[in-house]
Amino acid sequence: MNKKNSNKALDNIVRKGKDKKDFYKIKKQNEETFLEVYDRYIDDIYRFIYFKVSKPEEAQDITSVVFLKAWNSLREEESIEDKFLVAYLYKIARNCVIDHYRRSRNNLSLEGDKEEEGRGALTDFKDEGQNLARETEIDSEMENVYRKLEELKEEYKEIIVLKYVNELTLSEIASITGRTRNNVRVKLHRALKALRALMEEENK
Amino acid sequence: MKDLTKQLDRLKEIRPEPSWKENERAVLESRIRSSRISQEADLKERLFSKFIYVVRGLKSRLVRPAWAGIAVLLLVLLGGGAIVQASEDAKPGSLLYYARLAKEKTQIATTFDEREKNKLSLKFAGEHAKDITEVLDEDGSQNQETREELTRNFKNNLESVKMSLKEMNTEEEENNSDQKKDEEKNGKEENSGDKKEEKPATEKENARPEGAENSEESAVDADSRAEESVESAEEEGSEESSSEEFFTVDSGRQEKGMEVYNPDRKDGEDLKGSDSPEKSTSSQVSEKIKTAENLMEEEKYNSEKLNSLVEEAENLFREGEYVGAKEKIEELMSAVASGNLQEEADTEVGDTATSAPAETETSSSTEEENEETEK
Repeated sequence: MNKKNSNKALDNIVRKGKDKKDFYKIKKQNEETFLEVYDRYIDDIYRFIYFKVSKPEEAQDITSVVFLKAWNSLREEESIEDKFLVAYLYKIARNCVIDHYRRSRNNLSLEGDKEEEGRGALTDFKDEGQNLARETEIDSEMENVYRKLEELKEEYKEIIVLKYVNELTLSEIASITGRTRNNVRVKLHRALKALRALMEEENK
Repeated sequence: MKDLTKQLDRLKEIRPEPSWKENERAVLESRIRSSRISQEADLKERLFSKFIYVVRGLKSRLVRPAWAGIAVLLLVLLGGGAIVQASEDAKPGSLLYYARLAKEKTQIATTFDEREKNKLSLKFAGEHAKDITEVLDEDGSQNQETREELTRNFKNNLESVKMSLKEMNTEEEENNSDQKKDEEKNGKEENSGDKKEEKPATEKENARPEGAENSEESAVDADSRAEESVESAEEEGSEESSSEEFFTVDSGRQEKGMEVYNPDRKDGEDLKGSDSPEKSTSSQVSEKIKTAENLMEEEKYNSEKLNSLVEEAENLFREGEYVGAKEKIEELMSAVASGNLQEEADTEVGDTATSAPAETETSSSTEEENEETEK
């Protein structure tokens, strides 16, 4: 019960942070509040990154970097542009993933593997990620959804994960992806339609 | 749709390993704490370096002789000013009293008017004496030596008060006697001026038969008129008489067809009008002399009164009646101050009074000049 209440209070700070005072609560060297944010959002951020990189070790590495970066930027920056602190966290996570892809692509091109030429780093991880479903010991039903999600466009997959897995609101998703709320709603509708089509196709 | 969301909901089970989460939390906590400490250290270091920078800047500036000179000058000026300001109400015995004495001496030294100088020294000596009585009356804890010194100072100050009063009195007397002499002199000059102006008339009277050589009848008429005019001149004043005389002499010339001065013009009228202040001058002079004498008497009385006040204060002080001595000194100071004010008022009134007759004199003198030029 206590944990539920504290999560609610934290959500008020991180997700309903219309008042900028909440941001300053964390900024005022309040390590405890930030560690609470970590406890509350570590799973969500990890999952969000895992769906992007599809490798648990890499997802873990990136997640730890995300929280450290968030702490440093909160401490250094005078204010944040984002309406929600949670959106701020997801944005950092997105940028960290992009940085990770960039570094991986450079490494691959340095190795000069001719067979890998012409294939994006994302597809490499996608291929590897498909095998990772087994590593997380998810059952067959879960594995099915996971595989179908991987087949979707990146933006559709992202929106579905944010909305139905991490349970963010449309406004929060709009803030993270830099789209309008209506645009997110349309995209979500299309993404669900595409996912359902893929699922129905497999059932047939 | 429900199945799809249910299936998606199951993806929430994708989580990082709890052990990793624990480790990561510890790492993050330690990093946060270290960053805070480093931040505090950074702040301290930044403040310290800023302080060092400021100190170095000041040092390098102060080392330069010009800056050092300016700094010392400013310090001396500001400090001196502050001390002088603070010494305004310093009582005898305190350190700032010497600063006050120095300031007063400077004030006296920079006053060049002897009269003002006397006034200032009288004022300062009176204030010193008053302060000494206050100190002796308020604080009886001084030792015998300081009491003796204060008593000595009081006597010195009273002596200087007496001296100043005496000097002021002698100055006043000199001024008044000078004024009296001047006024007497002026009165004499004015009287002699009347006589001088009468002279031409008599001269011309004597010259009259010369003008009447050619026609005796006209000369007889002219004679009779001239006699009348001399009589009127004696009564009315010198200028008119002289003008009338000119008329009588010139009447002979007129008959000869010569161009003659016409006294009936407005100049003559002006002269008639201007004789009234001439009449009153002698009475005014005598009045002035009288007032000067009265003033001298008054001042004599005042100076006697002031001297008696000083003596009374001295006696009271000797008897140990410090409060009474202080009151006497205060009375003396106020009397001197009111006397000064009275003097100032008198001088102002005197200025305005002397300026009025001066104008009439100048107007009459210009008329004389006009007359001469026309002749």
